[in-house]
Amino acid sequence: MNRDMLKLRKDPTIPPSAAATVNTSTTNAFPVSPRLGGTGGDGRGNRSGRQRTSPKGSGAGSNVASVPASSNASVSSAQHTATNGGPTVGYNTLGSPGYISGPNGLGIGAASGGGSSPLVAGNGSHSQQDGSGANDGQSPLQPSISPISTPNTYKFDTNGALWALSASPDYSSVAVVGRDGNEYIDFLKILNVTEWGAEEAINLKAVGVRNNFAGSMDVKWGPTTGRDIMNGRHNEGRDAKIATIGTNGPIVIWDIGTHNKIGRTIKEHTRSVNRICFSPQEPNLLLSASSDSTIRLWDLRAGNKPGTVMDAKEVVREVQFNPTSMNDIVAGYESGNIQRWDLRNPLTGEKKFMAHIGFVTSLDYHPSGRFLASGGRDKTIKVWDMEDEKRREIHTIPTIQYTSKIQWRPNRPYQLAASFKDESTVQVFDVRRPYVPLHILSQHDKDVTSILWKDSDVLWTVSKDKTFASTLVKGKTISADLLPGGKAAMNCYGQLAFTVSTKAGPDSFERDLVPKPGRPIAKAVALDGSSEPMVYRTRQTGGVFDCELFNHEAFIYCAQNYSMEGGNIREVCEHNSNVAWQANKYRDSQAWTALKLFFSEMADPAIVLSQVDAVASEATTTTATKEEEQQDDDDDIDTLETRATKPVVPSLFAIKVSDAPVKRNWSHDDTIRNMLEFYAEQGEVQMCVTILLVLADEEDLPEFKLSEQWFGSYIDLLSRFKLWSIATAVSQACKDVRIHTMNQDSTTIHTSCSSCMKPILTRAPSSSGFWACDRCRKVLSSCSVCHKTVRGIFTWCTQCSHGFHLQHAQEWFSQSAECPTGCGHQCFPEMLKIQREQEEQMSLRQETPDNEHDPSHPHASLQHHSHHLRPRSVHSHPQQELASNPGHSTLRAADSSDAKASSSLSYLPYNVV
Amino acid sequence: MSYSDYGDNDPIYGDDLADEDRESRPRLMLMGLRRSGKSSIQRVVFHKMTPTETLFLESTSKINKDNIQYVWDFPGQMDFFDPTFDTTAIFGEVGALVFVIDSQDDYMEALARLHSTVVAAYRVNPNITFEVFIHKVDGLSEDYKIDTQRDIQQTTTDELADAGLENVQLAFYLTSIYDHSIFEAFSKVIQKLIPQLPTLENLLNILCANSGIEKAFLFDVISKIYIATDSSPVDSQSYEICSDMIDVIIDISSIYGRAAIGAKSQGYLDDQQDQSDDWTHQQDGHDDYEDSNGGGHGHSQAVVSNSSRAGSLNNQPAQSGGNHEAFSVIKMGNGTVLYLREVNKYLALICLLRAETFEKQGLIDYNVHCFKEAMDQVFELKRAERTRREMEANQLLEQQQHNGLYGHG
Repeated sequence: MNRDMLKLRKDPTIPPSAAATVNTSTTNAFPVSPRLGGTGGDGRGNRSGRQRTSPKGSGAGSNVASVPASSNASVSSAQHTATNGGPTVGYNTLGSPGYISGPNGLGIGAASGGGSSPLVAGNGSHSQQDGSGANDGQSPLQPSISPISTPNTYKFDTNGALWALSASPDYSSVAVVGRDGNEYIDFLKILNVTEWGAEEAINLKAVGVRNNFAGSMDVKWGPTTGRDIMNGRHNEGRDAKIATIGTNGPIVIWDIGTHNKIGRTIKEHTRSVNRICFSPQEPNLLLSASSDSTIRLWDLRAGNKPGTVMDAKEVVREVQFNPTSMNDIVAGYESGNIQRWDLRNPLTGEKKFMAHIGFVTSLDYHPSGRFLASGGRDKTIKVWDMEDEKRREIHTIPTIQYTSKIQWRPNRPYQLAASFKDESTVQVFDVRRPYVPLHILSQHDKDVTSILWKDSDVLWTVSKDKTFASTLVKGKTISADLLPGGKAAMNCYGQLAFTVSTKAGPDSFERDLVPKPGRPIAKAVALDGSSEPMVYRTRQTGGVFDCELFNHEAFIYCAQNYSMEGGNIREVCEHNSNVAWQANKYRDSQAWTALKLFFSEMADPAIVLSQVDAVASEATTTTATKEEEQQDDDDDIDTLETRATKPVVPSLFAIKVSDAPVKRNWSHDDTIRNMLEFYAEQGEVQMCVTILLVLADEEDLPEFKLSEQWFGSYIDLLSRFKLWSIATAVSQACKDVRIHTMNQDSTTIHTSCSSCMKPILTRAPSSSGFWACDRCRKVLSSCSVCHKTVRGIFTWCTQCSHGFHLQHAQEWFSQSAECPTGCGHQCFPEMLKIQREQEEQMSLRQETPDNEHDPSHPHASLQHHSHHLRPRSVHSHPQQELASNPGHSTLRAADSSDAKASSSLSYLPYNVV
Repeated sequence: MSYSDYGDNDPIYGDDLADEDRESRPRLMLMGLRRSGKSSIQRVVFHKMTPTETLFLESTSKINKDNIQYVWDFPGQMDFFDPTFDTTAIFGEVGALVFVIDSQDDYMEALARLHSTVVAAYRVNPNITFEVFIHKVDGLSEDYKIDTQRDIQQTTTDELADAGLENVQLAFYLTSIYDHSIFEAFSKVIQKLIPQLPTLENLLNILCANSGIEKAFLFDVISKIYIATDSSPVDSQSYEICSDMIDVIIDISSIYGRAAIGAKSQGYLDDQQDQSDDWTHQQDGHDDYEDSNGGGHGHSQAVVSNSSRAGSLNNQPAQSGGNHEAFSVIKMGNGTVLYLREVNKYLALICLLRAETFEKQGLIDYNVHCFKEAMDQVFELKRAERTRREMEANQLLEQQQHNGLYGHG
């Protein structure tokens, strides 16, 4: 729908001046009940009102026409039906003239003169408004909340892309600046705005300077009186002051009212001015932020006196007065910094803090004067407590694009509206629920450039689509309510986790607020002045459902126990058959048995038959393999096994009859292929892969196109079950180069805290870095003996995974076989033997006198092989010293164990990194 | 390809400056601890080295004076504050001091070094602009990036304030050689050293306003640094796409570019003719694209159109010095048009605009033509009378405003 409207709007046949045909009367046009049922061309008063056509051109107004006309009640009911009916309402693309039902005929858009495409985007059109809440004009079941003639919801075409707006102090008029798309001439227009529409009062294109002097970047209406100017009742000398800036030119102060002329131009800035701002308390003070790294303060009473200069030393993008304190201003810089300035001390700025990565795009002081919202290029809106010294944001709202403008909603301390670069919607956020916008307003077709709250319920926006729009935000659908609350996800163990949201009521948002969790140290402050900050918590309940879809226990058992080595295929197959049997996978067990038979060089009938017997309790010899499948009542399996065993049958006969050795003199290719394809179809990649691996050395093994995929998915599956070593073993055993080298490319090592599993990120070790966990504050990779962080060579037991300094491990395990943590694991069983020998020797030695310790003991050389963990001299150990025997014996013991230790190095349970 | 070097010329100041002019040109110094990435930055930005190649760079042992760019790469090991070192000579003529901090390392030592460097340099030459590159941020998560910058910024400014140097302004940038951030940071550094920046910015503003251009960059083609842009905020996407466009154009022109084109001195009208030919051709291409992709969005699916005389963007810059000019238009699926035109030997103007606006291509061409003339005059003025350069430029600007650059009537 919107797209169609867009097209229509661009219709070149629409005379650009049509917007100028706006109504002549703003007040007398309402409340007139919109007249329905009229057919095309029945414009009320004037044609620029809201127009609509029925969806199916020929049936123009058919369903609407059926509604009894001329009563307000019926109007709204018609609207309800229409909206609820979904397809019956809508703007049509076809050219039949629709009826015109503008409530007051207040002009928006260009009336097309009833020609081919009568439609302009409806002002305050109901369905559009409804749709905007949902960001989708086509959700038919959406409850309609507002009646057909919604006040404060309309669009007004100004015939030029608009960049900024500012309202007169009483909000009866709006100044907009923009640029005429055809002539590239800037204009400043004053619009008179009422509840029902807008009209153009003054167009200063003609009055303004010929070139781009006036500028179109920003406009601010001075807080002096602007009232009654447009009605011709203004007082002499009480012109409204409006300031504008352009991309290029100076700041221009306009006197609007009696004179409509330029009052003053300020040219002191050497580079372009990015933002201007009037003081809310002192109407003659104007701030300007410029790229020339200065902020300047101008007193408009002071004639042409140069303003106060605040040297920011950086490009200034934004500046704002504190609404509650006269001398307090805040500036946002290109570098992402925000700085506070006191106007009484323009020489040095005050608090400056880093707020965003990239420039600050927009700032807005909270009406309380304490909090500040800022938008930055890093696509966030952040809320700062300016009285807090911590320089930490108290709220962060991630946004879809960087903001072009943000403004707090009056009287709703938690809500703010934001417009975005290259984005045609305006979003209203509640900071307590940062991830989902409260409302999404899509009134415009192109980028919204500036926003302004008229009051707490009405938002004014201007856009590059040349329109000024007013939107009634109150009563809009809360966009989060439209999000589906139910989600489900499954894990590899066959568990299904799901959430269900309980249906939210109309005021659900406020009810679902809970006190903000968090560290009690952080003394967060609520924006509305209450003591306890709140956050939104969704009403969702969840659960986990165990659905037995996949026998993961059998899978894991098989994965862990299947033998994948080639070698003696018979033995491997037999082993695997037993494993499968243990895992209650009888069919698989059978398949392995069959494989074993295929690849038996010499089939010993007795063995074969006993095997088969063992497998099949009630099977007869010839049909053993076939009947075995009764345990599986799947037909497919039967046929498979029939196929698979077919060639076997004669051989079994032969065995039985002749008792002669059986040569493998026929090809099993087809059988094996069938078997693998069957398993692949069943999704049993485990079998496929294991069989392929076991048979890898067979020369006449057929090629399988999908084998790479099987391997890939099996490895993936193993990884899901965290069977990393097996996954690696599989990839190593695979002959396919791509699988085999899988571990070799783009290997990433992720580290995480061993106690809380929080990932350890590479970060500047300013605080804890790699050596401690940020969350649980525990030392990482600590030595189990000295409890200090191990930097350098870390040694750990692969079984109980306790780690040590190499030296400490050497010292400890020279005496004990058990883990020093007391986990009870025998980390170093060799030590038991050593100890035993030691005891024996000691008992021997007690009988015989000591031998002299050999000075050529190779301790020194052993030290070089630091990766060889070996017991070390322990004579320094106090406990040992306390032992009744002199140190010689222990040294001796260590010596005697040298040979053993070195021979057993290959399987020492220690890894050294 | 030899466009990886500047030859003897300077992109910004023109090639025919007298030697004494060169001497007084601002100099850029790269400093920082060892292994913080200084040489990598220099190679990637000014010598077109790919980021991965920088892994194999040896550590720098002596001052690497890149005379062409006036970037001095200092070895990190060097102790500048050795009494034998002539700090006056080092810092006396420096325009900008870029201090590189490795954000993935423990940066406390670097901060101490930064502090002492700033203090020493500021005493010698208070006009230096100090730029701090918080480098290698590609390894940091978003949260840590901002934390790191905040931490570094806070520590440094506090220390400087304690040393009584509150007025020293440090600018901080998060950079990485693996994305465009290093180019963007360098752009901002260089821009501070260009005295004509306000003039250039103004010219670009006028150009944008009068041609319906959304964003315009003046690029140094070889380093992909933009030396000026209009005053609207630069968002990284538009910078990246323009920067990538340069790569595309250079690559295409090295394949299809007409090397001898510079010899043919072509008038402006001829250019127009060529462009219109190419333009029709390009329209076809674009339609094809729309059909196949259903008008999908995405910058990567751009349709590359003509690059009629992009040949002159490559290594044969000035054979005739006349009207040869590279020109290229890329129309993208999301309705954006990239418009590139060579300004002088080393500078190219790249504009981002909507397809609707681009329908008035003649106007844009004409305005760009005016812009180029204005640019020439700006630099002409500099040569003629350096001291009154800016004033003259401003006059010129106003003259431009009244004569040439505003839209057609």
